[in-house]
Amino acid sequence: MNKERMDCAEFRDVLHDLDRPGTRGAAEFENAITHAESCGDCGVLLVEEESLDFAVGKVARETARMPGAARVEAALLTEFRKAKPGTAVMPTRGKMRWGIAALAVAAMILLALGTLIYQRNLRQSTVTPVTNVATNQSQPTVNPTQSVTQNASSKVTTAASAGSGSAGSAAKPPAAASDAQGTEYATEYVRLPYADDPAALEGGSVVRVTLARSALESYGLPAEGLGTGDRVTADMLVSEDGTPQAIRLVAQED
Amino acid sequence: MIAGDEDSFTLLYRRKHPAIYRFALHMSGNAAVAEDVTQEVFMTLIRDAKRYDPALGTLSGFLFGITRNHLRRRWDQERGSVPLPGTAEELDTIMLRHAGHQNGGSSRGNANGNGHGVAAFPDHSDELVSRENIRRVRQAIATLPENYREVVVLCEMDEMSYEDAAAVLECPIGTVRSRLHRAKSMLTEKLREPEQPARKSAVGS
Repeated sequence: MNKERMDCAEFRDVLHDLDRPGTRGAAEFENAITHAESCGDCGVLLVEEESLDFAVGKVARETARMPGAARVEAALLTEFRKAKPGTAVMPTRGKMRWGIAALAVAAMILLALGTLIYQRNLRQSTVTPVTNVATNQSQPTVNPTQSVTQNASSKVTTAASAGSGSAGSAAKPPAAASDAQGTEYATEYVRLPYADDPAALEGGSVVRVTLARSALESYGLPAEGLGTGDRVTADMLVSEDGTPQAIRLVAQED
Repeated sequence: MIAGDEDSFTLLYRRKHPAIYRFALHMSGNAAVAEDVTQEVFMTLIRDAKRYDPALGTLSGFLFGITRNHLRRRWDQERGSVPLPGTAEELDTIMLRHAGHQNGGSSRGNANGNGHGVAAFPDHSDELVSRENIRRVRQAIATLPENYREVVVLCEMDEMSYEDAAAVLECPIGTVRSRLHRAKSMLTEKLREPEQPARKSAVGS
């Protein structure tokens, strides 16, 4: 294109882009004005274009004012505060995970509390001191050796409850149990001097043994008043690791 | 704003809402609808701010895109109300409401002043364009077909580049340019005609 002489077709082609940066119209601005000054029809077009642009600009300014701008802004800010990242509503899956975690924690707390209460009860039901040993003088004879394995903790509890109020009574057995061979009398369990914590009996067992009288003395128990026999029958509470924890003397009536 | 800075959001809203409202107003021809759409656009921005990708375009373009979607949804829902019969009167009211507002001048160079101006385009070098002429221009814009009207609003009123407008309208740059030229020619033709006393606008025809 000849930059000195723009024709009417070229003028009309760039007319709408004359004030638009980055377009051919802007680059040809001077040539277009020069052409419009020398061409009556194109001059009219240029005036019309300018008038139109001016009027459109005015319409644009006057229609950009939103009457309810402040009200809308307030509503948007309220929504914005609700949607802030820190206060955003957690997705459903996240909520479920948190719920499961909370349940697990609650279950663990309940389990721990239950264990504590159980252990406290276990301590309260421990065997009585050695001074409460009761003996049965009427059964010096020795039964055949017999092992009975039971749940140690329940055995201790039974012996303790059955023996309450009978401490110091040497003639009457404080506890009684029956088996297939007849009535059986037993003293309360006596904790052995070197026994561990009663909680160690958890999972232990009761073993029926036949002991020599001298063995009783080795456990620190009085051997007097047990008749004349060389051997005595006893139930021994043994912890899981095999350590004797408590002992009671047993007599059986046929 | 994405981080929850309220001041940033307020600033963004104050800067961007006039253009969004204007676009919605000219495209719907109804001030209440335009206000609702403007609010919906910013609500969408609050809820889905992360959808905006600066690599894909300007924030203005993103907001105009949302605005178009909201407007189209409304038109689909209220198909019976398009074209909007009250457009001209609605805009007249708005124009009158802001009458007296200080106006600016054209950025272009001086007209040649050769005395060839037509009646609808009086020389405005000594006096600003009369309110009547502005009203006629506004009515002429309102009667443009929708796809022409939106390029006039974006490229002329918002002074958006062809590239940005093409991104908003999802069409080639050449299409934007040709539509704008055609729209301005149509406006010029309309303004050359003597005004019809009881003429009604037909937005979206």
